[in-house]
Amino acid sequence: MIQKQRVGVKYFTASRLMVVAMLLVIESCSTFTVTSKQTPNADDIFTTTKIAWAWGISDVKLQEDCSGNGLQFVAMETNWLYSLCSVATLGIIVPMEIQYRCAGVPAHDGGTIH
Amino acid sequence: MSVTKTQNYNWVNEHNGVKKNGVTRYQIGNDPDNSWKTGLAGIQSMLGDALAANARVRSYGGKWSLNDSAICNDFVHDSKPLTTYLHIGDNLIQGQPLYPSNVPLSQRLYFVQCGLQVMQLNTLLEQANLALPTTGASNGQTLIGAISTGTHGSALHVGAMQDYVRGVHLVTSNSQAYFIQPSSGTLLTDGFANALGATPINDDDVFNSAKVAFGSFGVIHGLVIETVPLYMLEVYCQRKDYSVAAPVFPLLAAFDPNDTTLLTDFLSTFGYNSTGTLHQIDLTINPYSDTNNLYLRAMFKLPYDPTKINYPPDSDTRVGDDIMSIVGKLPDIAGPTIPITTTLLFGQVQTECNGAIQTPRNIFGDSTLYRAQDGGTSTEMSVSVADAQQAIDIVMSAMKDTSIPGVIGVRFMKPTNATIGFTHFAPLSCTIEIPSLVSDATTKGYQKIFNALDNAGIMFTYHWGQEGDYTPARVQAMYGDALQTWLDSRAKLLPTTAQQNMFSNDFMARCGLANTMGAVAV
Repeated sequence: MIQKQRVGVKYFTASRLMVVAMLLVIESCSTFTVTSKQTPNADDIFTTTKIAWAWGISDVKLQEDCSGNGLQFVAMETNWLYSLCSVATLGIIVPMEIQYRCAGVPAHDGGTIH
Repeated sequence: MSVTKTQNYNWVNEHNGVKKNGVTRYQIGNDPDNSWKTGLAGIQSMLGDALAANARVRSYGGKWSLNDSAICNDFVHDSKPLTTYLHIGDNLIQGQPLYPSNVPLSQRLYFVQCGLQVMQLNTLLEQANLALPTTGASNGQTLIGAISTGTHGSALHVGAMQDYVRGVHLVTSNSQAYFIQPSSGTLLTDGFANALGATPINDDDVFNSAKVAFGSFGVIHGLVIETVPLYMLEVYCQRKDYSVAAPVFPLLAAFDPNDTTLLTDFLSTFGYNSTGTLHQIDLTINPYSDTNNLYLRAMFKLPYDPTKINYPPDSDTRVGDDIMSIVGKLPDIAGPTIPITTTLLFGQVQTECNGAIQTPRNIFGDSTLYRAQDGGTSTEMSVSVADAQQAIDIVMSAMKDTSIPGVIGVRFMKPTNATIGFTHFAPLSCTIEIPSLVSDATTKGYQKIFNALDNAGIMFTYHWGQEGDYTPARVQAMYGDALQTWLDSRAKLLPTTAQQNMFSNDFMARCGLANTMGAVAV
């Protein structure tokens, strides 16, 4: 009985450790997202990889024509490879992946049909 | 009119699980003066192009469907830029309201163009002290996209989203459009159809068929919907053992819309006490645990009173989140760890609440924030509430056997009057949804569930916008004689093979519904 319990505890602990290790790996591919709440979306999500050079000497700037509707969301994603690159180059090369989407066309009151 | 064509467009749905490469996308908007007539002209122009090119056409909205019902191989129409809504004058109203109210019907009727998303409607209606009678759990769909696949909420007294539609403006070619209403309880005079430049059709079968047709009857340019005065929902949600929910099934099987005392008595045993009307009961179940594996949620409807709102509208811990949010956080992992990971996430993502009061717009908030990043999918079946408990047991067992990553969402609603609406079971339909991640294991797991339900002799239908083993025989079995009514209605509106072909797609072919000319291709 005790032996069975120990086996069960070992299995449970090993499974949990496996999950935690896996989540740590996944966490290294992390995303920071800014969204506009309750905002309709346009059709396309744009994805681009950008590099910030030399401690901000060349900051990343992107412009998108959203027909005056603004952005629905912007997400910045990094992963372990990008992080390694940043550390290995002492911040000279900081890659990041950027996703964004324009907001959709606002609702418009077209009046009354008589 | 504003028409932008994109050749060789690579289409992907919002959940990144359905893809179609190399299509031609039409993005059609109203002119800068926002005249809806210019948007309508753009749709007709696109259909003229399709006829000339012998191409198929499919309109899509929020790309919310989790199967290929909303896409075709040729021309795809992004409807989202068409976002004008219209009010309807008293002089055009001849019928009675579906939802009696002190607010005049003319103030509650809206004609909405096909691109309006549910969140936009929620916002503009709330500003007018109105609300949709029910919605799905998420708000990123266009209203017309959601309705076209039979999307439902969990409103015990309302039904599915298509059940508050009062008229359908359908464009079937570059020169033909219809405004379709039921013959019984026709709401608007022919003057409204004339104003749209459409041919009026007043026919129960055609109307009820056209509401849920996933784009196969033509392009729906707009719908007339009946809204209701703004209300609030008081929400209770607790994490329990699934076994405690057992008594709710016989109570729902004996559901009496005029007297819900037995249900409210049952809910009060958990401390779910409200002065409002019972509006919704739903369950979220983790099949990979035997304890603490249920979120039992109930919502009560209250008259709008802003002084009673006690839940922050901009909280990120929303009570109305759809269960795709759980799946969206599941990593793409191997089978053996799925039960543990699911159980860990189950406790973190769902929210307990005790009498949280907010408007529907804020209860059913931004699901887009939580979409599955890498290939989300889902299947949803509807069964009679009398079969619900057995069906859920079967689904839980099959999920344990196959380790599908995901949880189970269970909702109950009034049967729809749409001809092939999938929530058609009386006295209540029970939907069982299993959102997951795209993989061979998920596909096999889903199939095991379908087979197990077949083997148990449980009649079920599929959500038209979600995965299923669609075959002609399956679709025929799901809808029986109603399917022929639907096909006949389609043949009335699309009387030629060329027209039927224009609004068919691979999904239709798999279902045996493409180019049938009124006869199911079993």
